[in-house]
Amino acid sequence: MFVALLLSGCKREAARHKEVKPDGARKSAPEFTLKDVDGKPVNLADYKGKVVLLNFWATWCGPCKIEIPWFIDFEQKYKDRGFAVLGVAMDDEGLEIVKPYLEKSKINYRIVLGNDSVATMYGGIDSLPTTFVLDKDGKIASTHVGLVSKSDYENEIQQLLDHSQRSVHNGRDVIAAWRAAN
Amino acid sequence: MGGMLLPLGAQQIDYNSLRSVVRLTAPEKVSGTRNQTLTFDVVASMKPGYHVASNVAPAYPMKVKLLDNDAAQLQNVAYPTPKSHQLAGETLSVFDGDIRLKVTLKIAPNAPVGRTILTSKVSYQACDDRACLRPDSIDIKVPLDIRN
Repeated sequence: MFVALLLSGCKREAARHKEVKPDGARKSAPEFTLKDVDGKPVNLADYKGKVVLLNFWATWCGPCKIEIPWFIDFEQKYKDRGFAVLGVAMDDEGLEIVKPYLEKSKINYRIVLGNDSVATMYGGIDSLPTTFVLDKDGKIASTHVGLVSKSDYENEIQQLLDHSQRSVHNGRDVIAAWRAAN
Repeated sequence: MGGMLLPLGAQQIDYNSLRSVVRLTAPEKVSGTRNQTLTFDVVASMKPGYHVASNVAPAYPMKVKLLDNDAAQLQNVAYPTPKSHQLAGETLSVFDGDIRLKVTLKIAPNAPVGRTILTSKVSYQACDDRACLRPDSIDIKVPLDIRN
């Protein structure tokens, strides 16, 4: 009885936060090159090796603006652990409207200017915000259409960062064991 | 001369691309004579929980446009008073629920007698409190019968 209660508690805890997709179920995020607000090209491929929160948004999207402070916080908190936020601004007016907005909002992560072609690559992007969380191999570990809670995002980022660190530690353990045996 | 407020017919046009969050209801037909000014209503119904940027919103305001034709010119569109909606620390100017757009046309002095199909484009951008849909538009066709 006690064990059953304990297990049901654990299940409730796990159910509160969505788990990221298992490794085998993740597809590669389509690669792209887009310009940032300074006109410099940004390749998604350059982010391999990092956990990435890829956020499609626009300055006219109210729910998008609710998430921005959370992403500023994540960038600050996790950048030294191999994490980055990459925002893709979907404003038709592009630089003219995005650059002034960035100056006002103190966004501390890279923003690139999106287009229809990238939107199509990512399934159409019918709603904003649409956010993909990518693992360090550039694969899509989770997808969110519309606003979700800050803790949901943070939980996913931590799962992927912890998994990355465990993989590194496991690798070190294997090497250590081989050396000991030889 | 003067406007004619016509009863709404059964013509309904559903949002035809992304999701059905806006539905338009327009008259089955309108009629008048050359040089006459007509007014008819288009009702835009927003799905509960959704709002659209009003006609005075800074980004993607709701707009009604009459596509080029030989029979009539758009004189005016009267929109209702927008509502204020608070989100993310900002005040948005929006429409929600059912709203009535009063469309005023002037029939051309040399408009062809008989039936012409007028096409209006209603453009808008809809959101709920979780997500915003891409800006979009719906075309509505209203037959205009012109008498001598």
